[in-house]
Formats: sequence, structure tokens, C-alpha cells
Amino acid sequence: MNAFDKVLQVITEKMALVAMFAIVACMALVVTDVIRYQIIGKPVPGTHEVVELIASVILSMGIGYLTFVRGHVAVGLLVDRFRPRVQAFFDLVTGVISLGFTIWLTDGVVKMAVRNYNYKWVTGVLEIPRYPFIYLISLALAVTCVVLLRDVIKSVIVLRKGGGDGA
Amino acid sequence: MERELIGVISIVFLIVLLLSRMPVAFVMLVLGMSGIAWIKGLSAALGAASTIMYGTFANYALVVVPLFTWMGYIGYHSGISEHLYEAAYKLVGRLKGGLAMATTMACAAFGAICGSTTATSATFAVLALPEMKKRGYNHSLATANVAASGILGVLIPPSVIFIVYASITAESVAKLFIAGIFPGILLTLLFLGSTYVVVARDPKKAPPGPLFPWKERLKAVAKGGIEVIIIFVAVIGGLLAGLFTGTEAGSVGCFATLLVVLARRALTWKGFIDSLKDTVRTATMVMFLVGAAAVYGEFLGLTRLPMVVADWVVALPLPPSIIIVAVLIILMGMGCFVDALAMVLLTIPIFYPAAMSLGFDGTWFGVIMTLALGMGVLTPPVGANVYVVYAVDKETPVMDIFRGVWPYLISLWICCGILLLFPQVVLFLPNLIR
Repeated sequence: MNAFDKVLQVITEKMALVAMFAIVACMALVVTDVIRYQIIGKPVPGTHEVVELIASVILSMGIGYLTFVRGHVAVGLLVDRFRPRVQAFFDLVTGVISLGFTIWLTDGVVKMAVRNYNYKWVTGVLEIPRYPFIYLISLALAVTCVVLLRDVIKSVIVLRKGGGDGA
Repeated sequence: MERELIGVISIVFLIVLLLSRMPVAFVMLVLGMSGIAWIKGLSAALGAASTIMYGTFANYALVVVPLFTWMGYIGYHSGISEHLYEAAYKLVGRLKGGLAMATTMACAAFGAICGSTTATSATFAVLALPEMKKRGYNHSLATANVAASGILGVLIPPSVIFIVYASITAESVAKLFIAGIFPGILLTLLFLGSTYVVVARDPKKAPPGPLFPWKERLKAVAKGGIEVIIIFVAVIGGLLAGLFTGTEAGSVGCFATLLVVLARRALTWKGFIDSLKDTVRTATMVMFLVGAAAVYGEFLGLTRLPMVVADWVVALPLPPSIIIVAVLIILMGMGCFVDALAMVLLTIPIFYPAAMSLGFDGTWFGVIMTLALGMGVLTPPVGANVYVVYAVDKETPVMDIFRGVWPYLISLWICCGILLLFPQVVLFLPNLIR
């Protein structure tokens, strides 16, 4: 489990690094655009659509890392009061549901990417193909599925051992 | 089955799943996809969910979330928050309750670069609590003051909740930001008043601090205030002057903050990387939540439940102001159990159409809703800000912090009342911009 955890940690952290770089790039692009249209009256062509594509990189590259560090908001009001084993049971059930629907969503995003590729859909001004970015989101969701699977396995381990650190 | 009934069933499942500690984003995604599948079929649900998620991830208007989040983290990692506290401490620290007042003032100033209530509370819990305890402050007053003052971070622009609210309701981000300024100042004054009243009733709770010479005070104010003023003027001034849009303000704000901290050589490489890492975690959490809420919102739209509720509310034989008070009480009650941002996303599809049908202004409703949710982060049993402070200072029992929060909650109610009676406090500045 530790080796699996470490590999996942490396993958999600590398993806987060890409997201970090994308944030800096986004800021630089928008500031350049604002300065250009305020000073010389000529904005950077296609800023709007490039920012949208960068935004998709920021968020898709961050989602695996977010799930790995368990950064999602949850309401622990009730379950936090239970014994670790009962908590693990709840985490197992909700984890399986989350995993199932995330796999389903990943499938939907892959189909969307394929459709974009087949129809050669591009952005309006710079005509940048959209499909690589949609594939990137599906890849990120797939990594998220693996992280969710890790959480499910951890819950099973806690349930079988009957204690330890809740999943 | 009637579609409205499917919507009601989904709300029951929503509560059950939330209580089972399932992440809020997954709860909304699961219910949204299931609901759409129930009404329109599996392939329609998959198509809608993937399109909405991509639309949220690649959304120009929402890119300000990571940028304003980064701005706050740069402020934290470069020590701007420390300078603000030092300035406020030297200015009013010698008064009875002065350190608590200094914390409130520093939180208000930090709110000008940080858009999160929990981040503001966490920052000042680390900075202010040790100093207040060293000076013999009552622990309940000190911790409650930090927890409450954190709310100012979400009211004074920039505010993540305002951005999310605007993205869902199509209200103007710029107007919401500017609308938050006067209520933020008003709430700051009310919090200072609360501290004054508490200390006037029992002076032992907050003994005065040392007296600093005026030269030293002015120097600290110049050092702590100048950075925030530059950043705030760059962002809000640019917005008011029409130099850039609300969306571009995020990038300009980050750039201005970076310039200021680099000019002061206050940001290390490690601080820079840490600020980005924290940003990725927070912004992705927010955006995934927004995407999932949009899927759930799409489903609720299909059920027509929000429209039915809005029609029902409008038909009630009660004055609109009473209905809004009832909505605020519901929001405050729900805010006791669920995170503020998640609460906004869960309730907007229902309450926003109702408020619009009653003839209220969308910008005004956004501010009043944020205030109501601010109350939620202070009240038991969940009270997110209280737990954030408790995580920093485990010596003060949670219940002692909750007990100390009451004077600040009263201030929040007074603030809500003033905004209800005088909507111009919110709308005066936004009405000035085109």
C-alpha cells in the first residue's frame, strides 16, 4: 500500500506542478493583455480563449492532488463521532459511490474529447484544437478514480483490521 | 412521478449523503447525474454532466478564483499579514481590549487581499492569539474575536463567495466586490463596538497593552498599511475606473501583490512555491464544488422545483422583508452544519429566484446572503471558523470559544438589520459604476 501511495503522491504532485505553472502563465497573459489594450489599444489576440484553456489545465491538473490530500469539503458532524471501524464503513460506502460516478463521468469526458477530435472543433480566434484539453481533463479524472480506489482499499483494510487510522 | 417530487426526494438524499461524510462535491455530482438520468435518461445525464464540468473547468469568468486565492496566499507567505497586525497593535494596543480591536482591524485590512473567511481566521489565530494570551486576555474573548473577525475576509473584496455567487446568478462580480466595501467597514465598526462593550462590562478580560511613541506607531502603520493600500487601490480603483473587468482584476491583483512583495524582498522561493501549492488545493476544491453544484443545479432546473418554490414564496401573504428574514434564519441554521461555500452553492438555485421574484436586488441579496453564512461559520455545532481557531489554540475548549462568540453574532444581526432597513448601504457604491 505504501509503494502505491508513494507512486500516486508523485503523480499527483507532478500534476499539481503543471497547475502551478499554469496559474502563473494565466496571470502573465491577462496582465499583458490589460497593459497592451490600455497603452497601445491592441489587446493580445485570443486572450479570452487561451485563458479558458489554461483554466481547464489549472483545475484538471489540481483535482488528483486535491483528492490525494483529501482537500474536499465534507460534513463530519455525525460520522466523526463514531468508532474508526464504523467511520471506515461509511467511507467505504460513500467512496464506492463516488468512485462509480467519477468513472462514469470520466467515460463521458473521454467521449466528449473523441467527438471534439472527430469534428475538429477549435477555438474561435486562434483555432486551437479543444480535444487535447478535454483529454487532459479525462486523464485527470482517471487519476482521481485511482486515488478514490486507494481510499476505498484503505477503508476495507481498516474494516478488516478493526481500527487504526480511519480511512 | 411528478418532477417536483423527484426534486424533493433528491433533497432528502442530499441531507443523508452529506451526513454520511461524503465530500459535498461528490454528493452534488452523484445526485445531479442520477436525477438527470431519472428524468431524461442515462446518455443525456452523461452528456450534461461532462459538458457542464468542462464548461466550469474552462470558464473565463471563474479563472479569478485561483488568481484571487493566490493573491491571499502571497500575502500570507510574504508576511503582509504580520505587518498589518503589528501596525494595528501599535496603534490601538494600549487601549483596554486594544489587542482584540487590533486583530479586527488587521483582519479587515487583510480582507482586502484575501477572499476567504477560514484563511483570515487561521492567519490571525497564529499571529494574534499568543500576543493576547501573553497580555492576560480572557481566552474565550481572544479566540472568539479571531474567529469572528475572519468573516471580514469574505465580505471585504475580493471574496471567493462573491465570485461563485456571481458565476451562478450572472450578477456582476465587480458590483458585488464594490457592494461589499461599506458593509465590511460597518461590520468592522460593529465588531470593534462589541469588543468595547464586553471589555467595558468586565475590564479584567482585556488589560491594556504597552504604549508606543507616535513616531513608532506611524512608522508601523506606514509599513503595514502601504502594501495593502497599493494592492487594494490597484484592484478596486482599476475596477471603478473601468481599466479592467472583474475577471481581469484577479490577474492584476496578483501581479500588484507580487510586485509589492518582490520590491520589499519579502517573498522567498519557498514561499512562492508554497503559495502556489496552497492555491492549487483551494482553487481546485472550489471549482470542483462549483462544477458539481452546476450539475445538481441543472437537475433541479429540470424538476422545476426552484420555480415552484419561488412562486410559492411570492404568493405567501407576508411582506417581502419578513420572507427575507425567514430566508436568512434558514441560511444561518443551515450554515451551522455545512461549509459556507457549499451552502451558497446548495441554496442559490432555490433562494435566488425567490428573492428576485420578491423584487430584491441581486447584488444586495448576495451581500446579505454572505453575511448570513458568516453567522453560520460562528455557530455550533460545525462553526468552521471556531474550529479553525481551535486547531491553532487547543488550550481553549471549543465551547468556551462558542460562548465568546455571542457579542459578535449580535453585531452580525445588527449589521443584517441595517442592510435590510437601508439597502443603500450595499447599493450606493455599485450604483456609481456603469
